[in-house]
Amino acid sequence: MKLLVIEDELELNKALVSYLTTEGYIIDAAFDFTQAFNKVIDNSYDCILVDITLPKGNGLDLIKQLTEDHSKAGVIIISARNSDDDKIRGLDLGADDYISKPFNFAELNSRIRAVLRRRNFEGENVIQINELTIKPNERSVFVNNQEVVLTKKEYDLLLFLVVNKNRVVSKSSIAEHLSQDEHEDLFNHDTIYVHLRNLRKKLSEKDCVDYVQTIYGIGYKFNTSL
Amino acid sequence: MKLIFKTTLIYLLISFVVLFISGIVAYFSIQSELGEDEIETVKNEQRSIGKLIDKNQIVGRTVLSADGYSRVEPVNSFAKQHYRVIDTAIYDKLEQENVEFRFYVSYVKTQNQVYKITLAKNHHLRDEFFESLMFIVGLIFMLILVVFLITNWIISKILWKPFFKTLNELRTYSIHEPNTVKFPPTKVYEFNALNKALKELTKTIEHNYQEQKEFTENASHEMQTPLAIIKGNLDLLIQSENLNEQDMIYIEGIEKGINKLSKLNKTLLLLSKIENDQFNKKRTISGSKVINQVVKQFEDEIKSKNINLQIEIDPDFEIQMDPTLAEILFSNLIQNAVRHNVQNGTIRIQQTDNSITVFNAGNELEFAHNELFERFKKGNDSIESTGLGLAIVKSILHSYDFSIEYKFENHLHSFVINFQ
Repeated sequence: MKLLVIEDELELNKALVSYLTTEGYIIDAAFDFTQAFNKVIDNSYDCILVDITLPKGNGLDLIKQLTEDHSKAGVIIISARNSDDDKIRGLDLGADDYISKPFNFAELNSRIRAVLRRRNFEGENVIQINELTIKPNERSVFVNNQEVVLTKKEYDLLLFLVVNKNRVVSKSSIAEHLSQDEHEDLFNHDTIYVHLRNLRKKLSEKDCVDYVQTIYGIGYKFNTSL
Repeated sequence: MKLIFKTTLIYLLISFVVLFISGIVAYFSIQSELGEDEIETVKNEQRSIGKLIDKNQIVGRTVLSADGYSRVEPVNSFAKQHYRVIDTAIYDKLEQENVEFRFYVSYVKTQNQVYKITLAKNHHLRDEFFESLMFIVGLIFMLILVVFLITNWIISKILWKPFFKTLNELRTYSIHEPNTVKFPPTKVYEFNALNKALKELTKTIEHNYQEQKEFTENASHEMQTPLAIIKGNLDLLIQSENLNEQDMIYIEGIEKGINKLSKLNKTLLLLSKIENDQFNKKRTISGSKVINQVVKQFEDEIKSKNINLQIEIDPDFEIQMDPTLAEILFSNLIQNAVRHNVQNGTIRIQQTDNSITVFNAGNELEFAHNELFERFKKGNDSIESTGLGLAIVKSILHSYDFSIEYKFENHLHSFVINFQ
């Protein structure tokens, strides 16, 4: 998987590249519009992360260009301007998703994965980890081919952990992911704990290994090496 | 008091004083003129009568006037006062009123007799003259009054017209609609100066307001990227294998701070967007639909606090609002009701006519009721909250001219929103 990160803020760009590299992607970075424009023309990417406000140009124009070129790349807008207008314009121009700063990397990763799933693996919509099978299209989960019936929140939680497998996912990023609403902050850590407990119970009833590891003070890790 | 009324009053007061003084002056000058005249006449008469007595053409008691008051009569001796003026009122049967008279008494001596000459002057006409003088002065005053009222009315209608136009413009002026205020040019220097000053003032205010708005929004935007950098690097840091438990606790603390900060920043941004009227899609929204949708977001919390939730809303109840704002509005209100609720508490959402009331159980406020909607106002139990939720609620309602009222009765907090 080849990704392009277009972000003018050096430190954020560096952090993004470093995080996404450990996810196993091949990363290219651009810091301004011209650089990004040239890279987009010369290379073919699976997913492009683009900041709207860029030196020497606007990220939205880049998205327009990609759409005109019938690019196959998924596009995720990362913007400091949490504006509905920008969001709607970006999505209209052909972007796949919009995430506003500041975001959790785990959340960004799960969005990238969702975009890649939609764009590239159209036939192959199954995530398999040992005895655990997740079919994101159907939003269904199986353990040893036996279906596990989960609530929406339990499913979202499981998928989020699986997508960010073998990484520590902070409680706050889980809360943010599950609430899916920028204006509310009700998902306190107790309710996450309740959902996680129910999820673990349902999975272990079907003899699934408890892959979810509690990381003291911070959050959880879906550890496939257990 | 209207300015026109005040100026009229001042003018009337001045004319009253002027007329009063002129009246008095006229009265006294006429009086003294008439008095001197009378004395002159009396002296002449007295001289003539004296001559007649000398020539013995008047002998003994003689009546000189038809009313019988002016007369000559022989007396034994001079009175102590040789010459006297007596004012007296005599009842007149014909006119049926007291009539003022002035008696001039003097004495003439012949060789063997002293005569007392009494000349009576009727002052009745003079009184009537002064009465009519007063009447005329009064009439002039009334005339001035009427003329003032009419001219002032005309002045206010015509001369002050540009002023009232300007006033009307200012009344309908809203800072949220810049460049809409129009001051029509006039030929009056003062009003033109006023309009010019107002134009400059509104321009400056609009400019400053715009800058202020942009500053809040830009400041919040500018903070997003550094926050993203901190958050991102923290995400990288927690992946490290070498962290011990104490490190984790430090990181957790940093994370909490960052999350609070980004939440605050997002909320401030939202608040400035509401105040900048960036939500302007007015739609018809079903009240019960949006509330049920919002309540769903709080399911877990409601369940964990074992809150008894009652929603009584007419399915046909509709609100005219921007859909995003409506959701934010109820989300903040219900979040408030959930967060500040007690274990096994209640929440009741009730609709009547044009209002929706959210009741919730909870402890009494730790601060004054009128501070409830202020920014960053929160009780001690709400470390998690930004203290901006109810400020947002108020700001949204304000942008639609809807009202909200808070009450605390029988251990129940209630927020009444009036959508009218």
